[in-house]
Amino acid sequence: MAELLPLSTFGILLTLLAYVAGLWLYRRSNYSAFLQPVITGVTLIMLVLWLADIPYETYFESASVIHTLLGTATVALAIPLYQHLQKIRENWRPLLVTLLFSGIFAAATAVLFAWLLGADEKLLLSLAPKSITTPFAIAVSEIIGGYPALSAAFVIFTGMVAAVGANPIFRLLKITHPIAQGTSLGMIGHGIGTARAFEISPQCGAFSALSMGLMGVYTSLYLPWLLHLLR
Amino acid sequence: MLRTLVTLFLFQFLGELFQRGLDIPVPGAVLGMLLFLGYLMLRNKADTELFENAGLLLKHLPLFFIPAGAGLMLYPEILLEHGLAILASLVLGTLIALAASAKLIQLLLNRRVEPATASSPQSLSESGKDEESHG
Repeated sequence: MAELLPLSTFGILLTLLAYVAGLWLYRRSNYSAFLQPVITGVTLIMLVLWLADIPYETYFESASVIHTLLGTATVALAIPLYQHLQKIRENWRPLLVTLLFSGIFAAATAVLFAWLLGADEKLLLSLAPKSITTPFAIAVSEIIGGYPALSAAFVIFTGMVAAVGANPIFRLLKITHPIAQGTSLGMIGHGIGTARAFEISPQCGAFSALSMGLMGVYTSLYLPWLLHLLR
Repeated sequence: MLRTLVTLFLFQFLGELFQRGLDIPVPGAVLGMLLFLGYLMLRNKADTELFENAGLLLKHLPLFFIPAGAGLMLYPEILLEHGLAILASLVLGTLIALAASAKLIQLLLNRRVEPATASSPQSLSESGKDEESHG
């Protein structure tokens, strides 16, 4: 199987098939937060590479077109943000204050708990962008010197924790405002939190999508600068 | 579709160019997104074709994480060695941040005096309904 990898189409096809399988399973599970297509997809790829004894680097090179398109899709994220501009204008003050706070607090709590339990610097850097949507987190992790692949996994896990924890937390703290529910889910739980928010209500979902975008932009602007200044 | 691809790749390229040229520690794709957002705001027009085609790309966003995500297989020893630190960071950190963020924005929203013009009666009744069914 390894001799097929110089064919650049092999890595692409393998990735597409793994994604299709992941999508199928996600639909079959009635959209369980634990069975996101990317989880199944990544697991299948790792399994195939491990079984066929193919080095990760060989696969990654063969699938590099798909990785390049991650940047393209990141650029396209400007569109939903643009479409939600009206909502930003109407609520800009609470959104801005919450964004400034949450962006720093989410990264700080992630780093603090891991640091207390003895994580090293590179791991801390990989954990810091855990609350921002995966394309941003991979890019941020790359640029601040974390492990991008670990960051991607941490992001997805974070989203699942936020999606599962949202209801109990909202009930406990009496968070009833749909804008508050949506905003916090989007800022802390990015895309997975947003999917959860759309199940609560369309308004909640729209604010979550918007907040996810704001959080991604804000964190990927401030975090690399902050670390740059600290070094 | 062709115009969408040219537009998106152009802004991705510009973002990478900016990042390289100005040597700023911000991801090129994020800069590209900001430039694209600026372009959309300046143009201020609902470009249905562009939005729909780009939407196809966003619909399958998880696909594009897979090559990078599979890199997880390079670091089994980190996950094993620091499993507890990672779990504490991701579970406790996320729940505390979610609680703090939700509490903060709800306080800010409730304190705010509703501007008479900004919210239509419809959106008010909508949010009221949502609060009833989920609160």
